Amino acid sequence: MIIREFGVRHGRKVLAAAAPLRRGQQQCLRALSTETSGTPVATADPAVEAALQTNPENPSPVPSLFARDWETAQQLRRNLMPVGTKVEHRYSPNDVFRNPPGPKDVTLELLMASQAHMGHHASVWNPANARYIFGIREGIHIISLEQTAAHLRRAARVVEEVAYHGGLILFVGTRPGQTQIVTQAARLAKACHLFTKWTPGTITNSDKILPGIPVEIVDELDRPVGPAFNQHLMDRRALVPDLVVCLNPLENFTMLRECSQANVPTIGIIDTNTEPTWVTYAIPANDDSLRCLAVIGSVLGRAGEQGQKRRMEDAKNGKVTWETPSEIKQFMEIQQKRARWSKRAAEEEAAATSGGGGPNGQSSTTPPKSSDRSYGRTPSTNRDGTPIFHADEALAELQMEVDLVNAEEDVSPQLRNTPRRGD
Amino acid sequence: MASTQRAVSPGAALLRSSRLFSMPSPIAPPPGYMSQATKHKSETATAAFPTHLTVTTPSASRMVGDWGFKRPLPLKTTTKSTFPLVRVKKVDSIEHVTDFQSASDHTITLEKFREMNMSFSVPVPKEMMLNPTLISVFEDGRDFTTPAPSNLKGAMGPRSDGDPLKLRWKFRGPWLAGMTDGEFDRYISKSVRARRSEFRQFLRERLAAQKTADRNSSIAEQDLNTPQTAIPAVKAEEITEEDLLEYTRGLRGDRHELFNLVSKFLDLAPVSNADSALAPGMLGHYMPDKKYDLYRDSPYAADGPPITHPSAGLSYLRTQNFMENHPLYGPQQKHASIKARIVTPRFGVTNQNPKIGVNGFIANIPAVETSFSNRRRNDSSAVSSRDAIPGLNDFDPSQLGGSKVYVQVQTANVDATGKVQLRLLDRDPETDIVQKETVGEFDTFAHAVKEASQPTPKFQVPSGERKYMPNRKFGSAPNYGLGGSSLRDF
Repeated sequence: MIIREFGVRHGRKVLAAAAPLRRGQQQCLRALSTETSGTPVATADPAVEAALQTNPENPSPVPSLFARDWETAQQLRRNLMPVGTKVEHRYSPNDVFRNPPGPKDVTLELLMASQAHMGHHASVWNPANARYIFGIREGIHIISLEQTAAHLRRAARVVEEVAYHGGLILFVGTRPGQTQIVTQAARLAKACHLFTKWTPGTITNSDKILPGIPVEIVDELDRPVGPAFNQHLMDRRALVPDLVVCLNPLENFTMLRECSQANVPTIGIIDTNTEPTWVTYAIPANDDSLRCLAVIGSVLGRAGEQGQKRRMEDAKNGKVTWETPSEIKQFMEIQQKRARWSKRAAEEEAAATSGGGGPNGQSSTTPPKSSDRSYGRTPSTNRDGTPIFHADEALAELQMEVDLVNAEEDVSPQLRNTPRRGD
Repeated sequence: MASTQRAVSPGAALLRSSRLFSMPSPIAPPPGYMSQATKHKSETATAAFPTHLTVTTPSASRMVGDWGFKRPLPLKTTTKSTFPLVRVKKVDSIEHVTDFQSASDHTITLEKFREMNMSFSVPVPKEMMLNPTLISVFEDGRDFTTPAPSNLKGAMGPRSDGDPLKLRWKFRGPWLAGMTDGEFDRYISKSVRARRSEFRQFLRERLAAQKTADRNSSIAEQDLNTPQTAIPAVKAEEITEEDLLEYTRGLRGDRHELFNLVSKFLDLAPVSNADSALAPGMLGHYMPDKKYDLYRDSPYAADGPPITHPSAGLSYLRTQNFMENHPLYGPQQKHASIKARIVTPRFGVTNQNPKIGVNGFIANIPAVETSFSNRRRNDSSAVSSRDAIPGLNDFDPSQLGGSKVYVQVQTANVDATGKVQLRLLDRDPETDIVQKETVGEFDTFAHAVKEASQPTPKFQVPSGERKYMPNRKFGSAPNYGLGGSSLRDF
């Protein structure tokens, strides 16, 4: 009754707004109004009436009441928003993905709420974790929240500094449900991620496992250098990460073993049944709760993001925090030598031509383009001989890349290997 | 108190206030049958009472399996029920799984029980079944566990119909009538035997008190002027071994007194004295010329004291004596009827009393003669229960979901095994109709119109056996000869 008339009023308005009306719609409106209980329906708006009376052959322009009503409703909503009940934000499981907490947000409350303190059944513990364990409750070991927080902050610091120094970080979480966590952390930290099985030998036997993985060379501002290094990239070996973050070390023992053989530092979430010496930096926490893993992953991801941000700012100010890998330097030296030789050969040929001499065999090699900014400059020395790698977000699995960076354009170039974007 | 607490680390303080730490440890499961082989026991049957805490979670968290425990619970089993209710038996096990199951059974039953507005009362003895006086388990004289003087004062009120000490619901000693032989032997050897010397001292004190009383009474008889307080009381140390031996021998012949002393010493739960001391054939056990305090049975003597508080925490109402109001019909004399299942009909697989399932609790039909009874009623309506309650006597396969009956519940109590026992009353057709109309199962107005529009059946002279005739009406106008041609029918 009342509801129906209400509907009729509004239905007429809506239909009227969609002017010009066709004959069928008018009939529809009429039918709607005859169905009511007979109470006269007040049409306050003359525009509506006009629209209803309009001959469909010559429609008159009608203002969009729909839009006006919507504007009015929005205005009303804005005015009434502060009135009445205060709507508070309640916990939602997606909060950690919508607004990922960073290292600054790590509190004991957050860790406890995300079930970081729940260890395993007391009988399956690894005694090496005794220093992280607070006690036993409900049959499970309780991990000390202070220990978790301290170790998590330390690990975040490690991630941040590795990212600051242009290292290649890899986030690994191979249990079901960890995909989103790992990809988010990698996206934040511009790192690589792995959420499927670690192929054994990816580090120790990378020449067989990862042949021909696309790699590119970027400069200090992460800009691709160009095709000048294609020849180098063709016989370049696959990259090795500089830091591996593992959410489930128990299942990834092989990977951690390979990392330790290749001197790659690792960060791992160590539950009470896991061996803490498998990883370089342990974070004692619950590795079964996805909520806990999401918090830890986002904290580490945010730390990496912070490190990348600092690195880019410093690069803009002309400060480069890493050094060119020795292979690239070597390649560049060779290229420079070849350039010198070919130049000399050309000069000699010119002299011979002028003096009657023949062409040199060296001229058949392709010289690098002199216009390329990477050439003809003295590369800086590498610090420890190992390349410092830089992670890229868009790379699934372990696609290694290289990048080349010019530290100071005018003095010496710095070039870096990076996994190529989009591959 | 706060100042004496040890200072703890912030993490420890947080953990102490956490929900995981505030989970109560599970209580003991309901006592099983003494001989499992002879009883039918269902693995899937709902236990008599819950033993674990029920845990719930917000819907958004349930969709990702987050119940606040070590690991997400599997979505396949936890997202199908309407209400998220789970009991966790083990947060983590050796097999690395969380041991949990649905807790809907007990939680929803509790919800339904609360809708009944039921109050718990002290069990009513059998001889008072017909017209019981219901006493709430929360009355001062009943709701106490220690024999403190202040408690006894309430118990000794105007209507003290038993030994006030025995009106308690909790006793330190066991209920002897419910013990098996083995349990009894174990109790004697473990708990009782070691207290021999203590019992002797107890007897000494009793004997001293008795001697004092005897001496006082004899003095009072001889000389009325001597105040009794002037004579010092006999002390327990003054009782010699010979006196005690003599007293013990006397007790051996006086079973009633001996049992009273033993049960007081061991604080035994009361046992029924209907079969022993008070029975007429047992009068020979009483000593001549001696005063005995004979009390009626404790309410818990027949079936043993409850293992919890007699309300079991299910309801804190003291009485059912409040009136419900109906929006149309006004205040109702009786509470709304409750739709109940007929779980076991009378003549089913076994011939036994039918069982009624009321809101998840199994109830027996009333012990007195009601419409639930099998026998034909002798009143004029001559309606047998077979007709009154379809499905009560025989299983009715045509009823979808089983036969139902509207019942009135009078009160509830918790028995010795922790089960809730409901006391049903006879049905009240009017109340049933009101409730049926409320829930949309019955249209009173249409029914009245239909009844009024039906022609009045002809009156027939009863010949031979009286038959049940539905819709028979007496006293209408034609029957009295006012309607015209009805006289011809005679």
